[in-house]
Amino acid sequence: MGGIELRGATKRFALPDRELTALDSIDMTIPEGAFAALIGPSGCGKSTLLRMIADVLQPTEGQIAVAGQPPKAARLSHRIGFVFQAATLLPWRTVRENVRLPLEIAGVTPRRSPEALIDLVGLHGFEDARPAQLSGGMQQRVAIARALVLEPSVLLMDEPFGALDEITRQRMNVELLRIWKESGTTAVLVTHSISEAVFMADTVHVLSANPGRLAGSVEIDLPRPRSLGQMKLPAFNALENAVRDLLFLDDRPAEQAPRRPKVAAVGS
Amino acid sequence: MTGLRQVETPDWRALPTRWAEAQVRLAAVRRAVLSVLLGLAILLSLWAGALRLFDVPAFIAPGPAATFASFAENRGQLFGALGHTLTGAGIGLVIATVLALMLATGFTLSRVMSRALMPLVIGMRTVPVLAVAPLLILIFGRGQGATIVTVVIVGFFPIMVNAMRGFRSVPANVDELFHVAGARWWQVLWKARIPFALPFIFTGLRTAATSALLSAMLAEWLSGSPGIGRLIYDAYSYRDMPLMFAAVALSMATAFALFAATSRLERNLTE
Ligand SMILES: Nc1ncnc2c1ncn2[C@@H]1O[C@H](COP(=O)(O)OP(=O)(O)O)[C@@H](O)[C@H]1O
Ligand SMILES: [Mg+2]
Repeated sequence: MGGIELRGATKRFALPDRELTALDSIDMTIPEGAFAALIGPSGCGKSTLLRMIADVLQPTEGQIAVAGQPPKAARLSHRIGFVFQAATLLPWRTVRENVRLPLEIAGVTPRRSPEALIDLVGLHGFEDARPAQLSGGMQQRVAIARALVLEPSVLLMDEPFGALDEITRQRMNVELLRIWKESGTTAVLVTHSISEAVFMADTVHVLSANPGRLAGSVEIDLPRPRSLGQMKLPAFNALENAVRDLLFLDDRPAEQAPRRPKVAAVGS
Repeated sequence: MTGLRQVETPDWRALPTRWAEAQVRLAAVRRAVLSVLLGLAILLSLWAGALRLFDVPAFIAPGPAATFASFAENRGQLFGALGHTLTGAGIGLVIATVLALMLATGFTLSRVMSRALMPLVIGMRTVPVLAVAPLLILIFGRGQGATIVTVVIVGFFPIMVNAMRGFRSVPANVDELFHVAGARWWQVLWKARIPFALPFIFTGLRTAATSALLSAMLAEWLSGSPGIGRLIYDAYSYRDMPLMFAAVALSMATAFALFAATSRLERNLTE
């Protein structure tokens, strides 16, 4: 029972002048051990959705179950790991001490040592380095190791490689799939890259904005283990197009867009 | 999947060794000592030069030599008085720090407490120490008591304000990280808020430490408690200018050393 269930999950924020519906009745099922990707325009509520699953925010309406429990119970029994866009390491702690932080907070001894996790994310030899001595990609590896140290049932990642360059990002993606397979967690990846979503996920959930709604889901039936070579296949492109269609569902061709003033684009 | 483990596997041998770090630190100490000596030499020659240039009589301002002679002669009395002042200032500073950190923590954690007590704290800040000193002396006596209370009143505010700024400087994601791991409020305080606030707290502490010496001396002037402040005042009354200058120089050097020590401590604790 390590999956995630959302039933009519709705989140409204009270702004000074009005009420903002960030997410509107989201229904979603992410099976145990699956890899789900969430994609959508910025401001459509992707981070809000992850925060609700992690019990950082409470839904205004609807139910959420994480590993068969309400989010709060799941959080307090350490079933949730979270990776932010910024690595969010504590700069005065070494790599080892950063990875160990959740253990100190929870007061438990893990089955898998922090050192083993540092190996898993490919940072052997850097146990005693400080975050400032590491590159952005290496810092994000530390953040992933830290998120896995309590052996969570679900691993939530909010644009974890968004700040990295394209090349590093593809390498990190391949490694993330290996780490996910080895750790056996249910993974949710928020991304704004269509090819990244298709490459990583079993299912890509597409959100639309204003208010945030589930526009649809695309099943990715590409065989695993995935490799970068698959990205060149026609099947991959077809899946990308399926996601793209959902993303731009109600967009008209640019030339026919209503109320758009005609401007001379020459030389701009 | 072959070869993936080598991809972007960075080399830990590029990290600086302990020996290299020690070398860097030693060089920094050497530079600091040199610059202090240089500054002192410039100060002394300016002092002697100005006296000669403007033909200042010795009963108004003695030269470095006369001051040093008086310093050597009266060093027992001078250091005794300094010790007395530093004891009062030190106790006051410790109380101020504890009080400031407790209030800052309370204000950060509880909006109700902040709303109830903040006006009182700000009100206390706006009262000029010189105006309430007679009252303090009346209440706390002519000994260390008045000194300590004066130091607390002057010193706790900069520490508290900076500590609150520091507590608020914790990035939102760090808060969420602790929350998701199921941290209690005191774990967040101890493992994130205080470390993140340390540089801020030290900024406040540095301000407080230098002003602590000054306010302790001020309190002694008024209360007559036998510290270095009182000694300067008495030396002036007896027109013992070399002794007065020696006492002033000693308190200046102490203020400088306090400033340097807190800066040093800050670097050790926050790096
Ligand atoms: N704490 C908050 N208070 C008010 N509005 C918020 C809050 N968090 C997010 N929002 C709003 O909710 C919407 C969705 O935000 P977010 O989940 O961050 O989007 P995404 O991650 O998809 O870019 C945005 O319009 C944002 O301004
Ligand atoms: Mg976001």
